[in-house]
Amino acid sequence: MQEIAGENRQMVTTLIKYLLQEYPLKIDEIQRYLADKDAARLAASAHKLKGMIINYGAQQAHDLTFELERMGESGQLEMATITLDKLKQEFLRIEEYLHANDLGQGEYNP
Amino acid sequence: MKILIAEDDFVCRTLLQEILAEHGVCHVAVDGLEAMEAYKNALKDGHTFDLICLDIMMPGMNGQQVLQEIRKIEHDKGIGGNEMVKVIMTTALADGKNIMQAFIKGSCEAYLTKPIDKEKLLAEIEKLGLLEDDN
Repeated sequence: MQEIAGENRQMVTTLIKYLLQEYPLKIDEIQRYLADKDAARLAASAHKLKGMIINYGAQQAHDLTFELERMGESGQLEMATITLDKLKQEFLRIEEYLHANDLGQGEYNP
Repeated sequence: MKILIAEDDFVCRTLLQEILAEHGVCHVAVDGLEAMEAYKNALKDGHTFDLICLDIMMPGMNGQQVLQEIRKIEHDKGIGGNEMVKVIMTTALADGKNIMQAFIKGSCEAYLTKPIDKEKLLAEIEKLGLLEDDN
């Protein structure tokens, strides 16, 4: 993302704001599908989050969403709660980093 | 160059647009159905796309289905060779099966895995002969 949008500060800010507003919704969605034991939807939702987060260079979050996606595809959700918890922690870490660096403040208005 | 970006993820779409806007007029579609509609409208207007960046996993109609449908329309209308739209598939998957299906069944020209790499994308477009008149 930095390589593509590097000099376009407005775009970088927009995309970070988007991430901060969007990821909790996706996490909630995954959590809901997990509670419903809906493996197919969980896989699709994790895939979507993975596709988004990969652009931010957040490798750990990407790997965890990929893990959730594979669990969903195989229908084996026994460990999904643990992975989802790790993913939540990872997103909190990302959010703290962004706030600490004064990135993505304010509402996202496309 | 007339370009269609078919991508359901806002971030990928925005980044693709940022790269490609320097090289042509970008149209966007947020799912497979919209992509098909955009393709058919362009065909009807007699000015089809030179390049389509097509995400594999999209809601409604996925990228492979879109690609197959486009190739079928081209076949039915006798559009062949260089007149066929150039398609670059994009995917977050390092998924050989999906990509090979796209190459074999739908005959796309190239594929890229995400995150989108600007240099790789432009290199593929150059290989397709679509950047020749940019300078």
